[in-house]
Amino acid sequence: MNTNDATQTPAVQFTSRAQQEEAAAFGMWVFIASELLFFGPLLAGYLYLRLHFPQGWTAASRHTDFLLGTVNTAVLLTSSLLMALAGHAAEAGQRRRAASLLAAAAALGLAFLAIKGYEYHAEFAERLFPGAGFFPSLAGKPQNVPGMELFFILYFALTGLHALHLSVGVIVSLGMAAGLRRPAPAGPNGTAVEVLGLYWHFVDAVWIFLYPLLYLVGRAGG
Amino acid sequence: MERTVRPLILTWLALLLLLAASAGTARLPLGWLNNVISLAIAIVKTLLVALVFMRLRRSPWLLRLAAMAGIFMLALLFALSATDYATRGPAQAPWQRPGAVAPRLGSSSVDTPPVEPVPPRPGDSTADAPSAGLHGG
Repeated sequence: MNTNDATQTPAVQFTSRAQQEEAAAFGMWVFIASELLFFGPLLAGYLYLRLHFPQGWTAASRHTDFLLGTVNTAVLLTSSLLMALAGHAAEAGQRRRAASLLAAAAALGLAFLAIKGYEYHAEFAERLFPGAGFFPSLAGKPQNVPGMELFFILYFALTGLHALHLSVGVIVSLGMAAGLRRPAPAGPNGTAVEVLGLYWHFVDAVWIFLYPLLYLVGRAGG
Repeated sequence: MERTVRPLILTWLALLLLLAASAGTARLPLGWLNNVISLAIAIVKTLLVALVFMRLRRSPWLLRLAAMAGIFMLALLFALSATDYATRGPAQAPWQRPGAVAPRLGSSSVDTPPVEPVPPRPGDSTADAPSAGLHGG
């Protein structure tokens, strides 16, 4: 199966190539577990505030861009498919194909960030950024709906932290795509692409939860 | 090659269908079921991503345990936080009725009209007297 990697000799501390690959994936999984606790406190804050300001929460969530949020979710899910395909191609030794797929996934990541940036721009223009100028137009006076500003503090913190993670993923993907252009022993191997994929899919999974939590609350009215 | 790629494509299609279901049901007025459905769909989507894209389906148990450990610690964080936050209400303090407090973060003096009395909110014990009178009469 791993025609390319399995033939290489393992590093001195490992008994086999398979063990070395498992250790690499294990390291990334431990990192992902710690990342989960990085996002976790923000989600715990979300739960607390949503239970205490239900009206403000639905009023604020309706100010987010439903269409662009949905499109962005589809963009990110598709980038994850390309990333998974890149992992398979790299393991099969198809380095050029893997490089193209990585570049395509990174391009979709950039498209996501561009759409997100446009959303931020529109939200700044609508005066939805928390601070002295916060004044959501659709819900009347913000004084009457407490919690809206708290929603937008969490909205910008969660999406901002997610965008930061995605930016890191895009940069590493582009670097790895460039490295894969070099012939086999040099540059990243299949395991490296697979481990990058684990990180990318984790960032995707975070967005899968942010989408209903930030965009879908109170969409049906009430 | 085709045999390894097909589950990935099928998973992607399932993810897009679930996204469409999530976006569609969010617009139906189902009350509290809206939250249950959207979160259940998010969990199914994450499981698909973790099992197929992240290969937990065929991973050794060491990797599955690492994934579960992260979720377990997160559950612990939520549970222990809830022992505080879920067992007491918000303190009644003047800053929680922003309309009654003059300089308010978020109110711009240019665009907001002069501050008016805020209608009492349910659960706001300091303002219960007039609303109780309405219901009683």
